[in-house]
Amino acid sequence: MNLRIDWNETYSIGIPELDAQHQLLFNIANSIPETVDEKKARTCIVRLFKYAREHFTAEEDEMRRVGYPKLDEHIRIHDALISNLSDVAMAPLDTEEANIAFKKFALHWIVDHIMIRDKDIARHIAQQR
Amino acid sequence: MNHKIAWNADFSVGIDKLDLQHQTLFDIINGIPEEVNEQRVRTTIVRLFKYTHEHFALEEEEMRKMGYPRLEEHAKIHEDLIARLTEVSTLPLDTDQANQEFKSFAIDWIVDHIQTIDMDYARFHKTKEPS
Repeated sequence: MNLRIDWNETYSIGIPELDAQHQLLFNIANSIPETVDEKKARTCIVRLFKYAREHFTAEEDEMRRVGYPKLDEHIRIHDALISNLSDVAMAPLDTEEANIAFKKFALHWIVDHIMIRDKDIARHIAQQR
Repeated sequence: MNHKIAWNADFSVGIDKLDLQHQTLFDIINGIPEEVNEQRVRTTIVRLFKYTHEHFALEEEEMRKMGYPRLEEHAKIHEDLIARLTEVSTLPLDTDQANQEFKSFAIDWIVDHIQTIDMDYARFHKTKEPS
């Protein structure tokens, strides 16, 4: 199996800085090993946390700037996403199946965040124009 | 070797919920293995990232609410702390010595965070408290 999701236009939310960050998150999730490799898994997970946090912070700043009305709700969703990622990232990764399941989770986690949450911000910005 | 850092009143910033979170962070850091144990080190690092995120988010929210004038500067310091933690957390941890060095780093990292950023905020917070 070789799971990967490449960013394409359907994922665009029309804000270049945030789009670039989403692409980076996909790249990190794509590099999660599908075989048992604790060291590589750790590196991917740590990078995922770092860039997810930077991304959420940039997004929250942007939402504040454009007066997005659901800012508080969105921040809570970001916190829940970090919490979900932590729970799954602590599971044992001692079989290939466990690694593949973790990778699937990470990819869906990003898609869910972009397609559901971030598209809503994009709509808000489009309406303001 | 058994590196450990025990929370005591010297680390108190005078705000209960922040003190409690610092104690949790100390407990997590004390749990970093001092011998090669990739799985345990991963789960410990994940917990450290998770609670650090929660802690920084709460701190920034509190600073915003209280009108702390150096909020932006402190938010940037938080980002730097996460960046340093990330850098060190992605190093190879394939010897006991590397694990011990990682643990020493984490201990210095949390002490530095409390003594610089949080103590400054604590002084500000005190001036805002109704006397």
